[in-house]
Amino acid sequence: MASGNKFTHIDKTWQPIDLDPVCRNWIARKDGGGFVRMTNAAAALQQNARGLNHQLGLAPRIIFCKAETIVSRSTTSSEPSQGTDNQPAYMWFLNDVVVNGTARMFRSISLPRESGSSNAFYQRTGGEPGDPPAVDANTIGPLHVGTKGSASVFSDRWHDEVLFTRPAANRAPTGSRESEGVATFNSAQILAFLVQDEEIYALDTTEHDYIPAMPAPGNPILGGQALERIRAKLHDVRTKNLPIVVNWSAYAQAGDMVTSMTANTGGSTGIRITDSTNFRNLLIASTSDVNPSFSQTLQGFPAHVQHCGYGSAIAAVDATNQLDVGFHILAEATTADATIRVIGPSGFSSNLVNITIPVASGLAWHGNSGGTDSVKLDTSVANNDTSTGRPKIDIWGKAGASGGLFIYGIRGLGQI
Amino acid sequence: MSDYDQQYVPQASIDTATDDALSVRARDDAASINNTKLVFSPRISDAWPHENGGLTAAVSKSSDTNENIVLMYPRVFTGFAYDQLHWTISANRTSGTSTIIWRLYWGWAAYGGVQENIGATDKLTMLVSDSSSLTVNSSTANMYSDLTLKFESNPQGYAYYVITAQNGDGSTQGVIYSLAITPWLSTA
Repeated sequence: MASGNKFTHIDKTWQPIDLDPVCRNWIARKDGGGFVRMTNAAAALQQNARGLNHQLGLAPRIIFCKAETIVSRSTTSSEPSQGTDNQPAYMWFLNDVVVNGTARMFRSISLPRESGSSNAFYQRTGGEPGDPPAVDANTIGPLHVGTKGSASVFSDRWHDEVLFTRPAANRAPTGSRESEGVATFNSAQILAFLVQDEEIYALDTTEHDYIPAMPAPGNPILGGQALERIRAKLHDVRTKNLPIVVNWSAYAQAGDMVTSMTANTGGSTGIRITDSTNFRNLLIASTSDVNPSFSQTLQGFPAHVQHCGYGSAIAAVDATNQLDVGFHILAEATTADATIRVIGPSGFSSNLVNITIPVASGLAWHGNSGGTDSVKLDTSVANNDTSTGRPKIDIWGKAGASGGLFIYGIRGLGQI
Repeated sequence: MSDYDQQYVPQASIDTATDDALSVRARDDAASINNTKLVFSPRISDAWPHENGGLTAAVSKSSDTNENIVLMYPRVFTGFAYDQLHWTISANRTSGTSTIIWRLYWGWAAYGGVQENIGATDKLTMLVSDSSSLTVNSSTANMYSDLTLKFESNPQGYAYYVITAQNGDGSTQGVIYSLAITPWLSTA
């Protein structure tokens, strides 16, 4: 069993649970003549419950994160910013399968605004995946005053933290697929942005079921009920709350993410691909391939998923130690249908999926309808593996004939 | 086989009408919870597409050999007990012939107060607890992984992550395209 952690500030409930000392449901007979079966010690359930509670309350997922580069900034550099409209600066996507626990911590590092005189701030946006996101008027971020100086643009940096709760009118949308984002106002300048589930320190088990060693007839079987609740919660979080493996969003300027494609073709922050013959690597457009295959060295999206599967992690790769990563792409095709190709590592047959971006759909989240647009990762592979089976995903794009492909968001969500 | 060799194992519902020994399933659930502590660490996943139409690339500072901050994240609630950071980048050199050293720092606190323009001479103004580096010395794209960074969350559970870059000479410059940072338990 695991050894203890050497650090001093660590909540011991985060160490691996070792039930051996408390989990025996038998005792040795005093006369040395064998063992007597007993009911279980409640401490075993208590330890599991505490471990699960801490997992639920103190391991908040990072829903979205984006840091913009700092070097080479100047007074004229453009950070994610909006004018006075309400289009999103960043957008992300998630399978929203819960109706509780919808509070999100929005954390940001902001710079003084580029222009204007009103307070700069941001608000949460959200809505159905195919609809233009609506700003949630109940969510108001920090109010910032001040404008970039001419000499020292980083003389002021704001570290902000705002808890946004989702109001009833804008809770989990139909189909449990949610497009969420943040909209900036009055030239708010977000340098780095991170959305995380709310951490809950107080979620803990202070009272737990008592299991008598000798239950009287008619006593409720509390142990079994408690264990079942633990199992159900663990199963829920372990199958529906898997890691976000790939995460990227363009940032919008002047509302180009939703209403105007014209601005994007010039100097947008979205990925623009006009090659209708070769696939282009989304991370570096100068790399093209007619029919790309997985590369363990080419620029791709690292995907640390060791132990994210289920079953034995040391068996040969099979359905138990693989993780499906379903992809959603926020994109628009012009003139003709375009294609996104996602390629997973070697070790699986046909570990490739093509996602069509229909020209008729306009700008919307595409892919993974019904959980089909996914590639597989081997969860028995270490995070630092560099072989052809390394935990990494390549993504390519190709425009339709005489058309263009414009990509604004990529989400790869783990799924079982 | 340690707990961490055993990934999540869906357990059957308990039949409360029987006297099944709870210890068996309690142990199975404990193994799955232990594994879940690995899987559900708060993970950073980010990317900076380059050369795709005027994007903001994550580049090392041009014509500069100082160690400059390239990326900094808001504080992350990282939780407790993680004792390593796993991080992987895809990167290459875009000009010159020397090396670019990319470093990941984490710290309990960061000072974001008054300072000169982050760039030419500024060093990290945060309480640094540990860092590790990846040296890029090729103009050919590659993926770089490092697992050796020791980590300890502070008593409140927060950590700052900062990425810096340092060019080997004034004519060398590099870029990173993607990044993953995963807090990790190594105590299995």
